[in-house]
Amino acid sequence: MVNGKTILVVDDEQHLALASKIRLQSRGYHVTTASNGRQALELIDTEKPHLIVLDVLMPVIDGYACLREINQRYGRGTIPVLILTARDRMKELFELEGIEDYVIKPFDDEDLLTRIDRIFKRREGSTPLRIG
Amino acid sequence: MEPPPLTLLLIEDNPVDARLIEDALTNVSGTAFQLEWVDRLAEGLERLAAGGIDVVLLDLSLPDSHGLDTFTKVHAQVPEVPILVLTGLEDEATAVQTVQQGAQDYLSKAYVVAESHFLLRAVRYAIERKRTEEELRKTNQTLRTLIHASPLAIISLDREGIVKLWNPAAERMFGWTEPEVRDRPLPIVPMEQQQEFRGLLGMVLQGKGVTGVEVRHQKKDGAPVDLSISAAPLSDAKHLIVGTIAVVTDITERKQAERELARLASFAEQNPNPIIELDPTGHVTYLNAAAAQQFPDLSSLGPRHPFLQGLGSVVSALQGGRETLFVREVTLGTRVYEQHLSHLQEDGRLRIYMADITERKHVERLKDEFMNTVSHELRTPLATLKEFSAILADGLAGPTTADQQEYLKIMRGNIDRLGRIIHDLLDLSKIEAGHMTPNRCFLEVLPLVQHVVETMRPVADHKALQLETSLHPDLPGVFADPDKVIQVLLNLVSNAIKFTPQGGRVTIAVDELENEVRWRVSDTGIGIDPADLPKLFEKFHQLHRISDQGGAEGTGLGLAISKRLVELHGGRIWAESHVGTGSTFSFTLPKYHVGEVFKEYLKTGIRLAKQKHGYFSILVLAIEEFNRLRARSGPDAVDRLLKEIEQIVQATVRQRAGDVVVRWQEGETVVVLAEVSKAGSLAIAKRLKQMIEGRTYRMGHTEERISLITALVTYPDEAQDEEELLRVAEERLHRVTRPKPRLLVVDDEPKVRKLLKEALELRDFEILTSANGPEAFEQLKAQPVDLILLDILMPVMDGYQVYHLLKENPRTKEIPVIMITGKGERTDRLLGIEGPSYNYVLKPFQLEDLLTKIQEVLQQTSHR
Repeated sequence: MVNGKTILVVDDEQHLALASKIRLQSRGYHVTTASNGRQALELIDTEKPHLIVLDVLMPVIDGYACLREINQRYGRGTIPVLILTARDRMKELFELEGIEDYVIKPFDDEDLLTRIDRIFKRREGSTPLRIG
Repeated sequence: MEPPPLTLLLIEDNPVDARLIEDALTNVSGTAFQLEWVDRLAEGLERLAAGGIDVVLLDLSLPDSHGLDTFTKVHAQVPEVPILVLTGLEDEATAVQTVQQGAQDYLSKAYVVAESHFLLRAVRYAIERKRTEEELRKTNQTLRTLIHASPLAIISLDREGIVKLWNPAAERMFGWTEPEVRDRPLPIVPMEQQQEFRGLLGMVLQGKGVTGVEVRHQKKDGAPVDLSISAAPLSDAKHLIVGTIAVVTDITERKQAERELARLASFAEQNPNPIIELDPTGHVTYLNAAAAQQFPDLSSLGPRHPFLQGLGSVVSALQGGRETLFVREVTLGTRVYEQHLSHLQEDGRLRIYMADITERKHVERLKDEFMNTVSHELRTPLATLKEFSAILADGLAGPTTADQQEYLKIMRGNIDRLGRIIHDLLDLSKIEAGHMTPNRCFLEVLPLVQHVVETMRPVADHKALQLETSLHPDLPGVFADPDKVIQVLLNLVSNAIKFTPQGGRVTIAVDELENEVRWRVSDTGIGIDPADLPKLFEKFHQLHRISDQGGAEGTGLGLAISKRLVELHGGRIWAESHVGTGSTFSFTLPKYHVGEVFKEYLKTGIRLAKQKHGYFSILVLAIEEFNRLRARSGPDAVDRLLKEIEQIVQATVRQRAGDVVVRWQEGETVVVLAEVSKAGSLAIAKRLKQMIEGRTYRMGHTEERISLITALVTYPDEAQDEEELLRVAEERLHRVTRPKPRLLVVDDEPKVRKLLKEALELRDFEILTSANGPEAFEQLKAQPVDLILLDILMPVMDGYQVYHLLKENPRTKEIPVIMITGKGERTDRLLGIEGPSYNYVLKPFQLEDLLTKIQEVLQQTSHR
């Protein structure tokens, strides 16, 4: 079952990114992963994802900086971003712009999948990302 | 100058001699004198006894007396009257003797006659000399008495340092009597000080007196004595210095007190922590060595030194006697200090003691960072393990056999267990490090218990256990953190289920005590040995109970954590049990009294705030027209609405220790903001208002917007204690009534307009602004206002002119005006204005004063 949607998972924890990839692929998404902000930006250009799952807890390249870059380059909300964060960092969410939804680590896989579905449903009919 | 008239008595038996003398005296011009003459001693003595004689002229050889004897008798009779002895040629020797005996002078008669003015002069000299002698005698007598009676020791020495005078006070002070020291060297100077003594003596003998020289000499018994010496040179008649006279005070006691003082002062002086004292104007009156070293610019910067910033309100609290001690943290450059401030009532001085806690804070921060890292480092691999075992179990890596599924299940179970242990350990560490502060709020018992029951029912059903509740009707709410309470309940209930065999029963009962709400989880399980009861709540205590869920499932930390959580809320936890019958685990939580509990909480918050940056605010958000809303949509919908608002607030507010969201009175939500300044609180308030008013809420079947009224009170700026905080908040909240009053602010300064607009809008006024008179009138043409705030000092058209114009125009003359005037401006110019007397506020003003004034004026207007 392939549904034609590409998801970019950005997480510096490779194994967790891989686990997410396996899960999402089993639902028919095409998944590509990046382990830092720079890679993420490159992959957005080449893979043109329909959704970005972004871990904002990444220590090395600040997850927030990456988000800002994305907003700046492609415009806020052009590509829906779902972020992964921790319970005690929740308050920071309200200062972020351009996020579609969030999930708290450790998260329930089903919850993640449901939210992703919902995001896509909301965006039904929207044309794929045009870059350039 | 006319010399005073003299009365002379001549005692002379030879009448011729007498006459000669009389003539001699008369011959000299310009003298008023009276001469009385007697020719016998006896008569002379009689006449003298009657008094009034200034001088006696005495012939020694008289019929009834002769020679020296004559003189002696006369002198004895009138010792104070000068006697001039008249001699013939033969009795000069006797005459000399008389002078030695006290006669003023002797003159030969022949000489007197020949040179009569000599007589007169001699007479006058005689009188002068006598007078002087008398005076001197008197003075000497007075002096002698003074010295003798003086409580101060008076000592005089000659040039060699030999004692010539030693008064009784000196005797008492030093122990030596006068005869013991007279004509001997000064005994009080110890050997080792002889040189110094000589030096001092030499200096005085050169003519330089000294005062207040402090020395340590000794008494007769050898005891040391501290002295203060003032010495002056003594001169003789020829103005040569012959010695010294000194006054000596025993200052032993004073010296002792001084030494004690210095010793006590050295505690402050040598203290490694800075100690500073300020006078009421904020200038430094004392600085110990540590303070001078660490804050070298303190004296010069005075009240503007960074660490004195923000002390104003603190000082007024201290001075007002509301506080005796205030502690706060302050950061200067790279170091963090704990400042202890205390106030001296008598002179208004402020004492500041600073302890450098940079290291401590550093360690605390390291601990926090460590905890966070550990937490992350433990959780991440755990998450990975969980993910992949789930992936395998879900068949995403290919089909699995039944055995594989079994093993995967075991793996997952242990991963979960590990997760729980890590979670509990981290929890416990957090609590024990004092970093866990419950987010307390108003909690209702029923929903909480229902949630727990729903969660645990499947587990209970699995063991065919009955899970029941027994809740008292009308239970009051508790003041607690819902997550934590649920954690505790789940812990107790899961334990109960674990240790109750199949078919048994677990009951959750909640009832009300005087100030607390008591929760009891009872089971019909196997019970606990009384010996084990005391150790139940310790870490890693694994009960030796038989658990029939296959191996110890617990982390061993559950009860330890529950205990700490309960105690963090101010509650108690305990267990009762009977072996074979069952156990009951009980805990209490404080009741939610809006009044007491909340105030108690605020008090703690303020206290905490004092220790840090001294700011603490409460922001009250009230739903406008709450009652109407509730009547329209029903209590459930309103309840949900309030919950949603609380959630939004909770997520927005910077959750640090002390931040809390509480449901207060009818439809009000109180947000407690710790460590946020007034400006920061205003910003948060504004943000919250935007966020809450910016979305719609489901009320029954409709999506509605709501309108908020807000009140913000900040400690220490606007209130000094929790009572004041609540009172002021309440006042502000209920002061605003619909519709919003519309105010027009007229001020030429854009900053002032912006400030007033923002501050007043938050207080639920509608604000229009104008930069000058003409603009104001334009605005007023377009819409009416309830009140005008008018700045007096404006260019082009000043406030007075605007005021007058307003009052002249029938459309605007009824609008109340509040003038904003600066101190010193001639507001008396406005006196004598007809109509309602003007209202004003003086710049610079506190926002609160302005608001009070506005309310006052609006009230007045509405009552007209």
